[in-house]
Amino acid sequence: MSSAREHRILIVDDNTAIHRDFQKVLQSGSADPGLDELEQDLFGSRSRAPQARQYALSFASSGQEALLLVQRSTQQGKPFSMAFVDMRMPGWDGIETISQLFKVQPNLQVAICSAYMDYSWYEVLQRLQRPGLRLLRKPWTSGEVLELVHELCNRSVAPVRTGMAPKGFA
Amino acid sequence: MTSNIARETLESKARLLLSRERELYDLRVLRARAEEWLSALHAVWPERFDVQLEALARRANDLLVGQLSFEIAAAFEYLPASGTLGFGCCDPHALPPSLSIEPVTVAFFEAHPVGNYVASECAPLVGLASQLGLAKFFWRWCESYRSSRFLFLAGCSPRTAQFHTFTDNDRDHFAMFTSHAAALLSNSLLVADIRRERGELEVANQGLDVSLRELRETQAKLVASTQMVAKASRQAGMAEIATGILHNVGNVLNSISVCSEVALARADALPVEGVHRIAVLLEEQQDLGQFFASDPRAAKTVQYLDRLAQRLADDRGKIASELGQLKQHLAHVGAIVSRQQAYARTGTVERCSLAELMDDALLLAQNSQHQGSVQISKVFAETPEVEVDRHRVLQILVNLISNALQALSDSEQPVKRLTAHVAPGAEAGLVELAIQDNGIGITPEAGAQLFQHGFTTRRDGHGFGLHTSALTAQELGGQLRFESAGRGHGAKFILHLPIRAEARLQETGRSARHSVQAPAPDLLQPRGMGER
Repeated sequence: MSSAREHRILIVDDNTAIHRDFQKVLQSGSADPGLDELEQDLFGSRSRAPQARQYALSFASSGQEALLLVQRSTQQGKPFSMAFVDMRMPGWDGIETISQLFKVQPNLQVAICSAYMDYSWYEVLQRLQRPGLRLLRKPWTSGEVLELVHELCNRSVAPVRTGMAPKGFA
Repeated sequence: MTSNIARETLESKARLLLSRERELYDLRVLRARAEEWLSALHAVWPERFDVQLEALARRANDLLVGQLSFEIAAAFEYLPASGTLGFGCCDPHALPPSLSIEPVTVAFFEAHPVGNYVASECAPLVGLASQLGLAKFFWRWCESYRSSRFLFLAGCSPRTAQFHTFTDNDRDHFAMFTSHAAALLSNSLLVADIRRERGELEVANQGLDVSLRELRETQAKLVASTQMVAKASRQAGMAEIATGILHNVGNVLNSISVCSEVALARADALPVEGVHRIAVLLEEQQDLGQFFASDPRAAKTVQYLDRLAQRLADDRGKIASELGQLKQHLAHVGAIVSRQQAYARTGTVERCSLAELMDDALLLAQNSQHQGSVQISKVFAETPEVEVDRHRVLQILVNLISNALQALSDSEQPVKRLTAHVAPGAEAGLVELAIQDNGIGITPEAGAQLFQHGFTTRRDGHGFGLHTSALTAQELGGQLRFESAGRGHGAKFILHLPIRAEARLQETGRSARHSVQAPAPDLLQPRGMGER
């Protein structure tokens, strides 16, 4: 988690309540240095370990909006490490959005995030030709999100694999 | 003397007996010949013979040959086109199948339709008589109902001519019989033709029956497939609502999960340990006055308590806020579930408030909208409650609203507006529910096929929605129409519904639901669709 601040994460969901949910999980436990310092002085130790999670988050309510954000971020040389993309959105749906994002930033790590899938997972993989895609089912827990963030942000540093996985995705 | 008389009597009786026997024999021979002629006639003109002609032939035999003095009776048909006498009823062994007949002979017959042949007086008939092997005969030349002529002859051959003397009685009988026969024959031909025509008619009729049956079958198939489509699209409509609900509930559950996690984490992180530690620190002091007067930690203790209080208040606020949100989200789920339960009961006609219906539809349809980016306004006029199947109306409204949201999402309008209207109808007994948007609008081309099954402008659309909605509207006794000034000018979909359910039943029949027909085109024609 030491590199958390360096990672930028994009949330694409038409439901703003979901934006808040991500924010709560990925930008939480604001540190309270004053209290910590006082504890150190009074008791000689800190009573609680600060759990600051401060990822840089950006939010988009539609595929088109997401595309603009990704374009801007790559132009500024501060690309997103990963994106959570909702499947069921007005306008571009999740699949269309992801394929548009890949055109701009091929190494973007993506987790599809949906309560209901209009496509089977196999169809999704076939259409996007990305075996590295991950699925996050709503309702999710903070643990699942943090795990995914950890995994995908680390992976984003490694070279991107493209093409279909040969098996095991049916 | 007596014996003489007796012998004479016996002899005369014997002669009489012999002559009678001879007569009888002759009669039998003639009768057999007549039957042969008749069967020959039958063989030549099979289709012209029927029961009546057989009866006629039997009568001819009985009358002309059996009871009268004629040896031979015959009937021919003269065909003007070929100038031949068709083989008729004459000695089959002696005659060719057909005879050529001289125009003079025909002319003579035309001039004398009835006559008694005497060679010296009837020169034009001599040739014919010799060909037929007749010495004396009566004739009748009569018209048939067609252009041919019939020729009846009855007479005797040269061989027996000396024994035959035809009386007035014979002539009268011949005349009577032939006129009768001519009429019957003519009739039988007519009857045959009528039969043939009737046969053709029957065949045509059967063909018609087959076509009708096929038509009926096709119609039944069409009705069945329409019902299937209606059912499928109804199911699709339900599925749309169901997936919407799944999506909606999924999102809310997500927020619930996060809220509870955050609240939990916050509660876990409450600095209660700090309170305990400060209490322990103060307890450890022998003299609290001394501690606060001289210990450098005293100032920090106060500072710490102050900070801790702030922190606790802050955390309590955060937790309360999360719990408040949690409560709201739970209420939202509850509302979705109970609404779904209310609408799961299908097919029941009940009185409902249109405003409530519209509100519910707006709530149900909003799962996929850009929250906050569409301004939703309601223009609800005072309307009576309507008797209607809530679920089905809701299905239509949800479809219209999600279409409108889609149209808005696709448009570049700076201010996206959706207006829900509830109003009394233009006609008495009707109400109007309308969904209006200022989205991408509908081109006249798209408008023309808007309600067609399978029509969609959306890449992921199945094209059931509007089709189903139009069908459902019709089944509810109402109608669905739209107005759009074209591309970029928004659209308005108007659902007309009858206030009373009976009105609907009268119009469309109680079985309306079971025999869904495709909406009549005129119902689906857009109004006000000009290039405004």
